[in-house]
Amino acid sequence: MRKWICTLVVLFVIVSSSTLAACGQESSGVVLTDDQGREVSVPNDPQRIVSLGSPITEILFALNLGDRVVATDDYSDYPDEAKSVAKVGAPWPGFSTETILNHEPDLILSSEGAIVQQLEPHGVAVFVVQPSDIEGIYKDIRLIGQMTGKKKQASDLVDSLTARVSAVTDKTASLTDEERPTIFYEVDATDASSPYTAGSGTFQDELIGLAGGKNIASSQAGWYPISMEELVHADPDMIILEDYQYGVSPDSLGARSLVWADLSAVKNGHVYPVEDPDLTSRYGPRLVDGLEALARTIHPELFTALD
Amino acid sequence: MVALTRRRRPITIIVLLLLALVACATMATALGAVSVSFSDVLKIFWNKASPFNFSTTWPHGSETIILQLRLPRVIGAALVGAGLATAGVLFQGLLRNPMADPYIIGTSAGAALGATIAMLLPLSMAFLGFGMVPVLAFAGALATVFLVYYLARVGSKTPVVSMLLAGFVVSAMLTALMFLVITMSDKLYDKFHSVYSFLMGGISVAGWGQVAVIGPIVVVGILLARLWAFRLNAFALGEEGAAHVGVDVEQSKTVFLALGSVLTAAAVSIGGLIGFVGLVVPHALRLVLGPDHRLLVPCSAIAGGAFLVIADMLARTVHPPREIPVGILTALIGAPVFIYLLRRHGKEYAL
Repeated sequence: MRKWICTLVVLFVIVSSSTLAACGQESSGVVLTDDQGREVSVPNDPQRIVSLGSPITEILFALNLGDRVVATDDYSDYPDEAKSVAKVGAPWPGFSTETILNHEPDLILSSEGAIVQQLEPHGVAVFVVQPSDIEGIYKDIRLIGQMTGKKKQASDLVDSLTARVSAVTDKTASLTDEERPTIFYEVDATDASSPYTAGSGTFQDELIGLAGGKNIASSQAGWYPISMEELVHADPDMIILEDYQYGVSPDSLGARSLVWADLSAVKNGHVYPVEDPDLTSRYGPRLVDGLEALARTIHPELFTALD
Repeated sequence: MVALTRRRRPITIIVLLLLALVACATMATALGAVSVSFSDVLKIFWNKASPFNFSTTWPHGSETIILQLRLPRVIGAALVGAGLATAGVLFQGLLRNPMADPYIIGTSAGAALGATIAMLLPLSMAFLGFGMVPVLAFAGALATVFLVYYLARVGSKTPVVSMLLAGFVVSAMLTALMFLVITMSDKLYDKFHSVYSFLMGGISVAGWGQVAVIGPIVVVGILLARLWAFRLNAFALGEEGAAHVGVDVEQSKTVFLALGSVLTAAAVSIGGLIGFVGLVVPHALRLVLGPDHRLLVPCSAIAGGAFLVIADMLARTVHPPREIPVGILTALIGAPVFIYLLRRHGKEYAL
């Protein structure tokens, strides 16, 4: 019994002292709320940043913070300088905690929340950057600017992105319902009898709407396999292939089956590839490039001069 | 009810089951993510089948949905269910093991590894109008059975116990290999949902092409199984007993193993790893009809087909336009039905 009490007392002392130590650290930084609603105390002017998400890496480089990025996830490949930064793994099959900590980061920006519990006990600030729409991207760019003392650059970047988005929406906002083609956006047709598509709440869905199209999958949330019946029923005016990178070419759709060959978009040749899927799926500044590319695809008559 | 069905002539039971299958298939064709009225469905069928036509009052899409999407899919589901249930009867009879199902000697692991590798290949690759996933799933299932058979062979015999053990070990190894492939691949991170769909099972029929290839394999397989069903009855006496009544035990084993494996591979190639059908349908029918394989084989095939047609219909219609994996439904519906039959039967149950 006495042993137990001793152990408890020792534990209490350890816990309270480490809590005090943590409190001590907090006072030197700023407390910000991340995209998971967590209050994170971020150190002042972090110099050793680990980016666990290619969109985050793109934001950091766009704010001229490339020299502070000490490591990234395996997928961070843009801009070219990011390729030579040390890599620490990927969400699948998992990040290496010790490799991350070995880079002695003072701030970790992560595109997903699952990693937080793995890293936070080691006393590093982990801030989750997980915007759900373009406004959210602007907010996160500003937050990253605030953390790193690049408020001005962040604000300028957001202004230029906003201006480019407006240049597109100024032309598409006035389109009537009939002038907006219905669109099937194919994410992955590994199973051509129920291909994956992007529903509401995805960046692809938001971009299609802004670019002057109507996503036939908008009634459902998130990425999901659409039923072919629904696709035939909707008979979209246009099909956009994000799985172009997996070897799906626009002229191969008719060969999938009679049903595909019979879709209006296939018969009329209105099937278009997404040349660079990173532009439409990564929530970095290049998402606006993706918007411009989609706008040119969906409304070539309005956007020939956008190049 | 048990006594009642036993007194009926086998042909009557088969005809009744076939009528039930047709009724299920008709209902499944009438229901789907997009609603098409039942009278339109019948008119579309009539127009296709007869020279006298109703005037077309339905949207063009309805005809495509009924004739090019739902009908081939419903028939595909029936073929998968029939193939799995028949393979289940064969393996349970051959191995005299109540836990035997079509996947017991490793076909599922081989198919899953094949399908996973196929998902890494460019989507533009195709074979006989099939994507690479069904082709490699089929090949993987068959290759695994060959391997297991070869490993289990002792001299000129293939003891059941070594076959079960070899199947178990090869399965474990291939499953590990599959997860290794998934783990090592960058691309599969994006395609995880496809692997998942395959493992959970789901009828993947994009048109008549697949039905035209899988259909003959399954139908011929079931007819051959029925033709040799008396040998399975002999196996119920044990291998020695079977030999005493004049059955060539080793030859029969090879034949049934090959037959069950081809049926399973065909089913898996367009259905993924649908569980429960091959295990429970044969058991349920054995409870109701008794152990005679000459009746059990055709009845299991038809009932398995009807069961999967209904499960697939639910998979398509419970949460449209999304589809839920049919493997979830086969277990959710199959388990209670089977428990009911088991309780109702009352007596001790033997193979």
